[in-house]
Amino acid sequence: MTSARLFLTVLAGILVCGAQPAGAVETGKLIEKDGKYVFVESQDPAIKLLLERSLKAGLITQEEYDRVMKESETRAYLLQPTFKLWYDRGFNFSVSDNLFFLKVRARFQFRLTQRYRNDAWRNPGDAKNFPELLGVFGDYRANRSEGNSTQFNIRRARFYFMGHLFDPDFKYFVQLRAETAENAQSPGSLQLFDWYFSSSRLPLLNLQFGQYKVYFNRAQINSTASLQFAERALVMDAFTASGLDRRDIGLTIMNDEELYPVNYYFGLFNGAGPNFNRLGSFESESPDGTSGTTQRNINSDVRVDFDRVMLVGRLMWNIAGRPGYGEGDIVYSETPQVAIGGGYAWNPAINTSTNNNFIGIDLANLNYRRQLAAFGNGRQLGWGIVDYSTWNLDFVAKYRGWSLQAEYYSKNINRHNKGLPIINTATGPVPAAGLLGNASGWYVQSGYYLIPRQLEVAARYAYWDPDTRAADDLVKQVDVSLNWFLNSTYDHQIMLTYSNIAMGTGGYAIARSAPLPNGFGTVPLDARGGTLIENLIRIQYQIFF
Amino acid sequence: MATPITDRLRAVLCAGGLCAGVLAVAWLNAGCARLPYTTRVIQQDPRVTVTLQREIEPAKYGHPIALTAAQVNEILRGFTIRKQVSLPLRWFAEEEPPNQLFREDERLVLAPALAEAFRQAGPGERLYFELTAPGQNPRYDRDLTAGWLAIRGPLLHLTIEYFHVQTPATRFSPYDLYYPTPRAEARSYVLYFEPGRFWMLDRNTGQRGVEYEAFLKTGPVPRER
Repeated sequence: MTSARLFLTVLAGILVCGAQPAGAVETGKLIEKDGKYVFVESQDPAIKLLLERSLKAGLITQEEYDRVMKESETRAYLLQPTFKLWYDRGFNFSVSDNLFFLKVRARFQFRLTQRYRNDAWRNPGDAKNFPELLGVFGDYRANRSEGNSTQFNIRRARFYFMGHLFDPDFKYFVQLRAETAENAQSPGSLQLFDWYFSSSRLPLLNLQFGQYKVYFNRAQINSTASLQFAERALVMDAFTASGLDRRDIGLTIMNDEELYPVNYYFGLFNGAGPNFNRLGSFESESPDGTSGTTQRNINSDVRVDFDRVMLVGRLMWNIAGRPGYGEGDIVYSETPQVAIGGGYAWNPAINTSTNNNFIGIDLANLNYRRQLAAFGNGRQLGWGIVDYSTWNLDFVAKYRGWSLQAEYYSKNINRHNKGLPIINTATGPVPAAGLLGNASGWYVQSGYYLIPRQLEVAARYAYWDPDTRAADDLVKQVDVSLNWFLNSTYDHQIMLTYSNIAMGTGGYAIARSAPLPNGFGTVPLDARGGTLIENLIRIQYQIFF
Repeated sequence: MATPITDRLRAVLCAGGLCAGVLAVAWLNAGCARLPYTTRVIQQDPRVTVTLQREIEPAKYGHPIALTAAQVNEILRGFTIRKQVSLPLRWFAEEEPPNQLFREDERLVLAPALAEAFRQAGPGERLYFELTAPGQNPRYDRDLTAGWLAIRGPLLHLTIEYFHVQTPATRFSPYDLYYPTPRAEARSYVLYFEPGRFWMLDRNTGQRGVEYEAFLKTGPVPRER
């Protein structure tokens, strides 16, 4: 054998051996103990063969054979290493007879986005739903752009550490994110996204606490790794439980969805979004204790209404089967899977801006405001302190590769200050033209696996009225997606999603960066320019390993 | 240059048409099975699941048929398996000896259920089985061996889809709550049968099967335990 061939053989041998998953050994038995099966390794096959030959030849008795076998199995079991390391949907590490378990995973979403925007995006742009808040003062800007854009993006870069401690019922989950949002003004950094513990010891009363996605509506409970489209619809993000972000810090009690057809979730949260709490939110105050100043040289940060918490409840009935929360029927359900659910969330005393009506004039904490703008709720900025009361109804059905999912949202916005706010315009302070209304929206989406468990086509229509008192402000979205799930799981997929988004520019933005200097001319934030239309094509690759 | 309203109309009409097309195809096909589906459950417990599945394409299997558990056990004993490896690794992997497909304890729990399934199966049904055992993380994972059998003419065909594969025991991750964990797609294996003279090629289908009647005549079948 030449050295080259020897090298290739050894290399291939290493590859072949290295590529083998941890399979079961050939010898040994499954022993049922306490209702569970335990695989007990038996002895070396060569010794076993000798023993069997000895037994057959009459050199040893059956009793001796059985005794030696049992002792050998016990010895082999005791000599097993106290840890296990293997790969299965992540790198798995188990020690101390599985008292401690760690699974390390990572998720990578790589995306090419091609955008086509109409002239309205250039002027007036979007100053109402997704405005931009710049700088330490959060200067309020319209979001404008030219027509076309081609962008590569690592849409999601996530790292996961999950498992259990002490016993399999006490679990932990840590998620870090490292991506940069498509329209971010600065590169992203590693950030804590989730960290929670949960106890499933009592099936009727599971407990989860820490920072995580609030169990409120189906669209947000669904992981972005298991969607039918490259991105959630805009309306889904606009109706989170807190009105700010889908994640929050708090605790939830719930029952085990695997066991019970009717599931409840009741949660108590800060209601301030992730990595944040109400003590961090403040507004400016004059030295004499009055607020409402338009000056920046003030010297007090005052925290008000920080004794409030957010309450969230959700109820779900699995009418038939268990459709679960992933979108689409990837498992090709043999029987119909149907569920309905609904949630209610009350998040009081969210300061959408100080009561001087401006976002950028004073030194106030901008966290709430940035969350409102990022999730498309820019129209709610500048209305002082508000209580959000949000509810939703959702429905899902799956059968033989077909799926239908729909959801309705409604958000009541209760302002603490009831009068018309004053807006500083180019011509001076004037009362606002009207009051902020409520918000509502819905979506319906359906998918069908052209090739069961592998190739899906899906379509969605979403409707969103961000201000029920304003005209010409509707947001309508249509999506169509072709999805290829490479190994019949969500973990490895390629998506081609087309979206058409039409946003009305009606209504007005009260939370402008004012006062404007005299003679400034038209206030761009109030401009109406027909409908903002965006056509997007997203090609996305995801691997979750 | 198109006006914004024309742009919008065109886009909405295009997207709306696509949506309507997708929905129409989906609704029309939603009721049609495109994978074999379960018609009867023969046995289902934490260790063994045996069901009858209706084939989608017309099939004329030799079911029902009377086989004893001992006979099924004897047939299963003869199978060995090797993972199908793609080129170029296949050149080297072939040198690995195949593994025995079923251990004795597995045959003992599987054979009676399969024998009963052979008695109940119709000509259009195949016998699907799953052997599950606690996985590496015993509470939430399962060690899975699964596949299906059917008798066509004189041959008993066996297809293995999973061979001691670690698979989640729950529909969604117990840790990443509500992230679905569907079973990965079936894997490819190469099966063998010993004695090899009974491992015949079905020239109509190009698949190999066991000439089971001839095989069972070759020797005494062990007593059932």
